[in-house]
Amino acid sequence: MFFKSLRDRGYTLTFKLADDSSLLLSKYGEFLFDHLIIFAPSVEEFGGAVSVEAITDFIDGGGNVLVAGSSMSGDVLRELTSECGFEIDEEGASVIDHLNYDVNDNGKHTLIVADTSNLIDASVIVGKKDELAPLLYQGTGLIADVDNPLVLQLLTASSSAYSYIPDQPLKEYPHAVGKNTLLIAALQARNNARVVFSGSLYFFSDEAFTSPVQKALGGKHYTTSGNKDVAIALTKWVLKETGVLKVKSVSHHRQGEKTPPQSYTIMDTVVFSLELERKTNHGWIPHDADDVQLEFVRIDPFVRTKLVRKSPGSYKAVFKIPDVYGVYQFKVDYNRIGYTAIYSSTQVSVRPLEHTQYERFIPNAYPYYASAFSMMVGVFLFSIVFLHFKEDSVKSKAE
Amino acid sequence: MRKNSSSYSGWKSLITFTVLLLAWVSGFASRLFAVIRFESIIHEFDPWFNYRATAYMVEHGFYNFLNWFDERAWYPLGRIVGGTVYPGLMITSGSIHYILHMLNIPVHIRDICVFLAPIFSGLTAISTYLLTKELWNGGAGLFAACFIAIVPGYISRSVAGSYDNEGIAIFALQITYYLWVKSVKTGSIFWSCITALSYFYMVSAWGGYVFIINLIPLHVFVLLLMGRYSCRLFTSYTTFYILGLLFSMQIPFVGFQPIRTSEHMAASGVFALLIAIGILKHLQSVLSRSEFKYFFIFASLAAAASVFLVVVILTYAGIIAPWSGRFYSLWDTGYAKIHIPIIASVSEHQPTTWFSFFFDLHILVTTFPVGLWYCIKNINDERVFVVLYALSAVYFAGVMVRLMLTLTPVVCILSGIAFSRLLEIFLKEEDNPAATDSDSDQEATPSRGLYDKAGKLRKMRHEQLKESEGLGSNVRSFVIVGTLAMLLMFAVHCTWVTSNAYSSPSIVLASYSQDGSRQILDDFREAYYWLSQNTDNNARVMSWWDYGYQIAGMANRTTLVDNNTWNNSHIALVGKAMSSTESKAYEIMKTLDVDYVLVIFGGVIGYSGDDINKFLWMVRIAEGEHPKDIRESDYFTDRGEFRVDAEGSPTLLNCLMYKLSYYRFGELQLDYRGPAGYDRTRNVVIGNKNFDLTYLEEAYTTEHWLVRIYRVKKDTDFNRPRIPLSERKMKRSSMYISKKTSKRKKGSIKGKPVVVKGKKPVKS
Amino acid sequence: MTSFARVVSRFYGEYTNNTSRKLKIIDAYLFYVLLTGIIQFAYCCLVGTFPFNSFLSGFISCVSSFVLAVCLRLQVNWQNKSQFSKISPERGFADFIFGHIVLHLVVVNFIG
Repeated sequence: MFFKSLRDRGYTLTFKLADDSSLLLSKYGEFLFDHLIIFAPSVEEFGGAVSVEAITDFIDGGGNVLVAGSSMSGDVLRELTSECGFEIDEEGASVIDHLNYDVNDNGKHTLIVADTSNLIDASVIVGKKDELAPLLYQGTGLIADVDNPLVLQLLTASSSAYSYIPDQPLKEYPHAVGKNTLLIAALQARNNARVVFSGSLYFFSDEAFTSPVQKALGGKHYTTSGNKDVAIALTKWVLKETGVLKVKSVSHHRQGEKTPPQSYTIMDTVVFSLELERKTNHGWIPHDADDVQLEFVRIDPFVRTKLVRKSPGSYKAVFKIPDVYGVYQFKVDYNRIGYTAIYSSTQVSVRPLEHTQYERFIPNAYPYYASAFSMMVGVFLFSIVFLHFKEDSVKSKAE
Repeated sequence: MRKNSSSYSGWKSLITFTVLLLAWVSGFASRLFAVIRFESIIHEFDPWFNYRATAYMVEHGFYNFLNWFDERAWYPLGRIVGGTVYPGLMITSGSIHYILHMLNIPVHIRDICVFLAPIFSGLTAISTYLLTKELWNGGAGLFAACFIAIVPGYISRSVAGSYDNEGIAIFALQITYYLWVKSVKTGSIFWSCITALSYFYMVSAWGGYVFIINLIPLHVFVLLLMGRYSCRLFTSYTTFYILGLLFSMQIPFVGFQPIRTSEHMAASGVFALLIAIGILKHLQSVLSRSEFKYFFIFASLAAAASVFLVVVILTYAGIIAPWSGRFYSLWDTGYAKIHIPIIASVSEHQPTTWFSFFFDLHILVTTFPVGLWYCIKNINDERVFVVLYALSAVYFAGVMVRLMLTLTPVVCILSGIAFSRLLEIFLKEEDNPAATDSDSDQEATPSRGLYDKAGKLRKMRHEQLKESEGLGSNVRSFVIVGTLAMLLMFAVHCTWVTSNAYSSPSIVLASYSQDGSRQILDDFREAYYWLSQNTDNNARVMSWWDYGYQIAGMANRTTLVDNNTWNNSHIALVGKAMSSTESKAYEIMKTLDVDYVLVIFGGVIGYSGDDINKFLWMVRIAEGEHPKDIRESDYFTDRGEFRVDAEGSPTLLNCLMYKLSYYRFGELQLDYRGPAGYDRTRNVVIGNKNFDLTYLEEAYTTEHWLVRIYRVKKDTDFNRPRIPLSERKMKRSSMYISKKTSKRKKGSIKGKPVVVKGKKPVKS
Repeated sequence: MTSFARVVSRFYGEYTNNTSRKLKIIDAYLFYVLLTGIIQFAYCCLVGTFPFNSFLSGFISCVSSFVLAVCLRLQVNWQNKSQFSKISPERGFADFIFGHIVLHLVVVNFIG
């Protein structure tokens, strides 16, 4: 059902066994696939030319990856998750919740019911979470690197859950307890490649998609779980069908002009405009938001202002350049959960006044002008008088 | 008789002309060593900026040059070039270029820049001749001109390719002094105006104009103290001062400094004093003695009160700025070291050693006091000037190596006087005095100055005059031969010094291998060329400020700091980045948008002027601005040593500069016997050999490792936040050992029979 | 105070009698320049030095005119003939004009 939904959305699927010796992600430096789904929890080593390095290169190259693990996850997957900033719990460990388990559980309390309230608060990734039925989950727990701003905790376990090997008595403190236990985690890398890691392969199975949900300890009965909806929303996100923004255009110019100048002069009034677009099934449409900010930066931001929406998807800010010259950058840094990061910086130089641009003929200075010119006139008159008089005196001497 | 005298003066002018021409040619020729050995390129650091600015001016015109805002320097501050540069040099070469092109002589602006300094050295020789002629006589002038043409102290700043302000400034200095002496002699307004104009040229060419504007008032002041006031002095100084003041404020870089800063206050003080004295003298001539006395008391009281008031008001209003730091360091040599490390970090600002006095001036060091003595003995208005000039220049040259340059001309003048006097005595009876550069003008003047020092010589001369020539001629010829031999040695020394010490362009290094063959190390240009070809046009390169001009000039890339050290805090920021650990430096570099870092490393070839040796200055400058983060003592060992081997301080061994210099150096074995990682400059094995760079990656290293360029990684290089092995919470029980071989490429899956799980769908 | 007044009056008398008329013309010119300078300075004290370059050029042009005229006066005065042996009054006047030309070119450049 899961793959059928993908195929319905127009993807071409290529299935390969994880240990197939002809596995290949890239050929001659070009990636053969746009996206990669690894539903091979217990793989110890990929066949062919696929390895952790190949997959991380694939991510760094912009490819999106969906990985599902289980409580028997192999080392390759562990390595891969660590590369992405989270970790799979020890081999054999499952998420156990003695309060929120499904009625169909086999007694180990590992088939847990995850409330939709534990989903991340971003409808772009997981859909409208209020309307969803609870989710069925069976598998291992994940731990995220808390210092890492790029990791998204998509689905956490409830506060009564922990992750441990179910058959063994609790000997040491579990690695993941309560809300720290991640069921599904995602990473949006800085190049906007998306990686989703689920600790449970069961989550995507037909069984989970169709089975009814009811918490064993007196919960409401749902005829089908919310797994299918979430899985579809999730795949839409990870395969970059939703939540993709781009800057359509950036322009800046002096107020009253059309084209950007070679360089601005201090105290100029600048108009900066930006157009944002969002990807949908039907192509790019204008994206509306009311929280886009612009910074005018030279080491520190000198101006920080809100970009006002003028028409759908187009934003504008008008401000005055400070009285400090230097090389500045217009920076728009827009990060919202679920959307690709928008970062746009445009370098401009702001120069001081030219020698012809200073204020001239200031009224205050008129007396000085007058005196300077009177000096010139004075010299002129004086020399006439002086020369004339000299002749006189010579004459008088002669007389 | 008339015919005879006319032919005599004809000979005289011919000889003068020939000697000056020869001085010019030899001065020009001896400055060409660098061009012949290497090629016609611009040398060192500052000249590269001057060249770049000149090229910009030629290309864009003068007004655009004045308004040039250079966004490629001092990123992200930018630099207003027109307002922060002495434009005289660029205008001079620019107008030469313009005139030559008007005459349809297509010369590249670079060639003009390269040869400007040697050409101006000829003009300096002529102006020195004129000055000395005013001071003493033509013969001494010819000597002085010959000396100045080849003296190493001046050649050091004016070899071909050293396209710097000093090259034309010494000419401007000499011609200003000549005109000043001339105007004091005549008292003509015309000469004073010309003096002011040449002062204007000097102001536009070099910051050393402050020397003139203090020396001339000093001269006037001393003349007043000596009671040598005259109307001529009044005329020349007042005219010169007021016009010079107005002219100097036309240079944007100087601006209002002449009336604002203390350096220029002496000149205006003397101006006021001179006017006051002028008024008094005038009254004295008009009024009777008792009346004058009465009036004098009245006037002096009023004057004292008004001066006091003015000073109080100006200081209160803060109009007069205190002396600048560089000026302080002239009086107190320790000042800069404590307060302004950036000034002290320049090697040119160090005190001069005795060795370099001899090295730069050779025989002239010994003869110039003789000339000084003659001047003091036969004192007149002009000679007071040259005496003051000599004394102050000696002092300044002792304080700062760089000011050796101002000493050199006066040493040449005085030595010229001394030699001319000497030969004059001993050649007096020769029939053809013209044979040795010294014409016999001076014969007419009585030789008063010989009583003391040259008493014995004088006796000789009496002997010559009175007795037969037997012994006299012998002694005479001995002395002459000795003098000529000394001069010959001087010439040889000058040539040797020029060719060996001052003709290295410093961007191309030469080394001699054991068999004597010469190797050219062209690493600098290799690196700059790499930068210009392989980096983005707007890439920002961080380096220590010494290399800023070269990067801008040769690689045409944006630099953060350069040799125009106007913003101390920006330099300190770069110094801080260089002396912090890699991760802290990365934060600084990110805020400054650095793309590449360039360091100079001499450990492979033993080049001592590299960044590690300059490193302590970076630390000191950084400490001055960021005392909390950087402490100089951290970079020393417990015993207070600066060393890079295993005993060096851990802070030093982990700072960015160390890592960038020695990255992968630990693997390099320079010769078969030596250990790996042996630094030839500091003759130690480096202390920290195996380290990796996280935030930077090596981009380019030149052939001899002299220049190393690193790329600063961007955020996108840290695409995925990887959890390093050491910080992972899950410990791997056993590492999986790959079963893959070249033939068997199949992977493996735990619990293989459950094939259903192991499917790996891929879509595209 | 009376003695001061006597001195001044004597000074004045001597001046009117002993000074040639040529020098008097120069003195009148000097007085005019001085007056302009003083007015300017007072104006500057009242208004402030805002267009500093204009003030400087205006004021310095006055001072320079004054200085040049004083120099001319010294050179023309026959009492100082001994000191300016080489400079005739005509030469002095030509120099004076030259100085003024240079001065006013620069002043016009600086004033705006």
